[in-house]
Amino acid sequence: MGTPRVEIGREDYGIDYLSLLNAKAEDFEKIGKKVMYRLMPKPGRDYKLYLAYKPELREGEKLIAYTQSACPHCLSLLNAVIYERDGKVWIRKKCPEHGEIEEVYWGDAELFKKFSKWQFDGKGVEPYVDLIAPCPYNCGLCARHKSHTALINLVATNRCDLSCWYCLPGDQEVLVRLGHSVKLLSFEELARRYEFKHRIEVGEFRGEYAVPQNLEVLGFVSGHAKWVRVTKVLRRKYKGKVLVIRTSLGREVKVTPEHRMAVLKGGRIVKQRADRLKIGDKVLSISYTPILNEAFRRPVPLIQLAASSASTRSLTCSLRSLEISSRTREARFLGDFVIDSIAEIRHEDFEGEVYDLEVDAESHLFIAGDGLVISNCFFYAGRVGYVYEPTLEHIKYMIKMMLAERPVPPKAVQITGGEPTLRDDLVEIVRLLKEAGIRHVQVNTTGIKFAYDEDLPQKLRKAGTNVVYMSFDGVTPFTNPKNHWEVPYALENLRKAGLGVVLVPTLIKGYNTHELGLMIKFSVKHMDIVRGLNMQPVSITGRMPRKLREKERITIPEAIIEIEKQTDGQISREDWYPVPSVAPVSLFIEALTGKPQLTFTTHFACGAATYVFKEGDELVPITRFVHVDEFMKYLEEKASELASGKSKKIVLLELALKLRKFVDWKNVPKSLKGKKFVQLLYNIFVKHDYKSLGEFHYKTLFLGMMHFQDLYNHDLARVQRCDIHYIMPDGRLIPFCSFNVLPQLYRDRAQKAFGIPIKKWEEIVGVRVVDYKYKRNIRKLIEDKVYREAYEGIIDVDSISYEEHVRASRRFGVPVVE
Amino acid sequence: MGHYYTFSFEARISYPKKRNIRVLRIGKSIIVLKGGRVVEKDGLREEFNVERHLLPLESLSSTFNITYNDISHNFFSIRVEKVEVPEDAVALVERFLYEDLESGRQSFYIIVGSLKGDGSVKILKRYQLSSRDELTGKLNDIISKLS
Repeated sequence: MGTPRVEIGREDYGIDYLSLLNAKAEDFEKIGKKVMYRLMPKPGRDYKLYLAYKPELREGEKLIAYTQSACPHCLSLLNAVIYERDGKVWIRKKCPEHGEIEEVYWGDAELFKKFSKWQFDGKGVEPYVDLIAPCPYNCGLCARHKSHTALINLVATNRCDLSCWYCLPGDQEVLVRLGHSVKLLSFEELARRYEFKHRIEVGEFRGEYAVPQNLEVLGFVSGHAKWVRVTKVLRRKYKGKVLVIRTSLGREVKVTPEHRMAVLKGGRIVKQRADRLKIGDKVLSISYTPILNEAFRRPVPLIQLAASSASTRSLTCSLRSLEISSRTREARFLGDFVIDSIAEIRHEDFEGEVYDLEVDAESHLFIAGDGLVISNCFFYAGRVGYVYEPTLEHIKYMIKMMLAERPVPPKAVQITGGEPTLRDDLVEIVRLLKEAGIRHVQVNTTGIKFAYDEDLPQKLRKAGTNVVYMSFDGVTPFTNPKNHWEVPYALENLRKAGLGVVLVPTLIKGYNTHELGLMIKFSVKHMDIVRGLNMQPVSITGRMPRKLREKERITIPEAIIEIEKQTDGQISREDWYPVPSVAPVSLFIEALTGKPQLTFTTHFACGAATYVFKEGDELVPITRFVHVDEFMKYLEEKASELASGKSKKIVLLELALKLRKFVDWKNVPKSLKGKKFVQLLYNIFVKHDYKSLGEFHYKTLFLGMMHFQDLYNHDLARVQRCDIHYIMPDGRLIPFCSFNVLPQLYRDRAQKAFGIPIKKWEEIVGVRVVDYKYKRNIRKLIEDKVYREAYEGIIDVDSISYEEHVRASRRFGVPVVE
Repeated sequence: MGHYYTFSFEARISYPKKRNIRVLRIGKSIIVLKGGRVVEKDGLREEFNVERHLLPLESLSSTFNITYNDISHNFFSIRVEKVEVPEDAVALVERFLYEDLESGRQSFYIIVGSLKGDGSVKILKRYQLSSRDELTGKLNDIISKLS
């Protein structure tokens, strides 16, 4: 068994955010100081230390280093070993409670060695929190942290306008009877009616439950659908994969892998784990005919329902297609079942609350989803139950805290979410950051709002936004169902505003990695507005079986090698450098000016980058005409000379004379020929001019990789060197890979403490959270020339049928409207 | 009577950055008692137990920008000394020699902390000095101010 984790309510921290809506920044400062330590992870409750055991090396394995890492199951601290085997780098750890875990750390040992030469350690930060717990349970930042902040994330909201599973899950419904009233409710709508007063542990699952009065659900009783009493409504947090099971009748249900479904085998009904189901397995789903006949007092043939449900969720859609409000219609009915078969099983990432109903039926079977029969002990998806949206005064306090960082105050902030463009005062937040002296402000978004709102990019640009970080998972609707259709329009409006954009794909092996070359091609095609493509190899959320992880896992070197193949060697593995490779530039400028400089001292395995120039139809990486290794080494030497007291004038003169020698002039792109390029380099490295750096970015396409950790490849050496941090509502700064790898201990706990229950938030704002959900008019989007032109030369847009577009969007969870 | 831990350690680290260092405790612990009296205390050696000693070690090692994670990557040795603390203790002074085994560069450190009778230490000041003479001078200065 893992460490018992007791979820703490916001009342335990004494924060009532509703009473703070008009509070001043100073008030938030007092509250932040008061709750900061109370919000921090607690030994025993949140984690244990299991450092006595040290994993052994096995035959054929070559030691790289020992480290510490968290257990993916109980989050306890373990020793881990990093080693080389079969040309790859691996990490292995063993939890005394949960056994051994081995994972690929880096997919290419040679590139690992090359990158490891570029490690620079930072000077650390003046700690925000005392040293009271081992790493990584002491984040805030503490005295162990080695890197100062390169980029601060400011979460502006946890709301999102996508009804997909990544952000605002939980719109699945269940037919219930409350007293005499029959309603089709989503699980979270149902959950909102009850108080979850009780804690529960079922095996390794920990959650809470409510005991409802007069709540019934349709149960499977001897072949008939009968109302059965619900004895418990349960919920728990879940981060991991959910299975989307679609039947040949088009009915769909989303369940956690361990959830059991009713399957017909050899004439008997057996309960089988969802992750062991196969295509073709026979499942039971309710026949809607008698239900609808009785409910709507007219016959509705099953075939009509099946046809109408072929491409969507049948019950809900059927009810809606009959112009019946599924939420309010009251009916009395009893049903039978049809034998259906599994047509498709998909895996989706999920993070949030999942629900379960305990029913008072001998079979423990009830009907959910699109009428499919499932077993109880069924956890369904729901949202987190609160809105986290710091007020502007609260944000002022958070800005004050981020700027308090020493020795190097941060210069770059990313406003993120949820979906930050849902906030009406987003422009005001940008203004606050700029007024406080933040040099670089970027907005992390799906870009959907930009596609429809021409003014917003203009206003953001005017307020000082430097760049937009826009999700972009591929060039087709199948790989990028999140915003494939809106990207062209967003780019168009950003272009009009002169606001640059960095496209950000999450890479999942076998899902979108075959489009890496096309993603680069797309970025180059829109280089007038696209400043970069920053790829993020997938970070596995929650717990996942090893085979599934191997199927999806891609690491930085594997993505680099894939790019080499897909660009026919135009961008080769030799062209990439780790993030800290540019540290000598900062060290040099620091030695020159005597002022602490922003230095990228993140772990070499965290990120990689290169710059490419367009030369006709060819791409020319900067490494083909700049001798990066020699140049950086030279800057490092000069920094050292300056530190030992050598004259600044002499060093600068030497640099100015030597600069040309680091450039291979025969390979320099035409657009950079002449003195221009050396002048640009001189301005950046000698004058350390931020505007020149911007000019450099305008001429090139930045290609980056950032591999955020997960619980399987977690390495404290990386956490301690992280330079992307989150500002917390209480004023702490949390490294990215603690905030997101241990969300229960950091992100969720703090956001819940400073959140407002959804119902209350909706009362104040007068709008339901679900009303912000985006509905996509695909027909309109694909017919416009903006769409066609954006993808012209990248994909054949005419080869994708309208139905395929619709299916891709709906699979992701975004409804399609005409 | 409470106690606190003090450490000497050596680490040969090859990951993620090569770093071979040695940190040696110099002399005895200097404890200032209520009223200004100064006593010098030897420590009793104890076997390193990571779960027990991790936090006290790191409260010290942060002075040298080195964490337990760094130390544990490859070869390392840690010497633990348990120092008993008089009930009327108010301050603590410890001296260290830091050696970069790659370059041969040496630095001297003085750490000054508040100390309670239960052994809890809060580091208040750190001084980095370049020679043993500087160390002696600074130590005399600190002791005269504390006593």
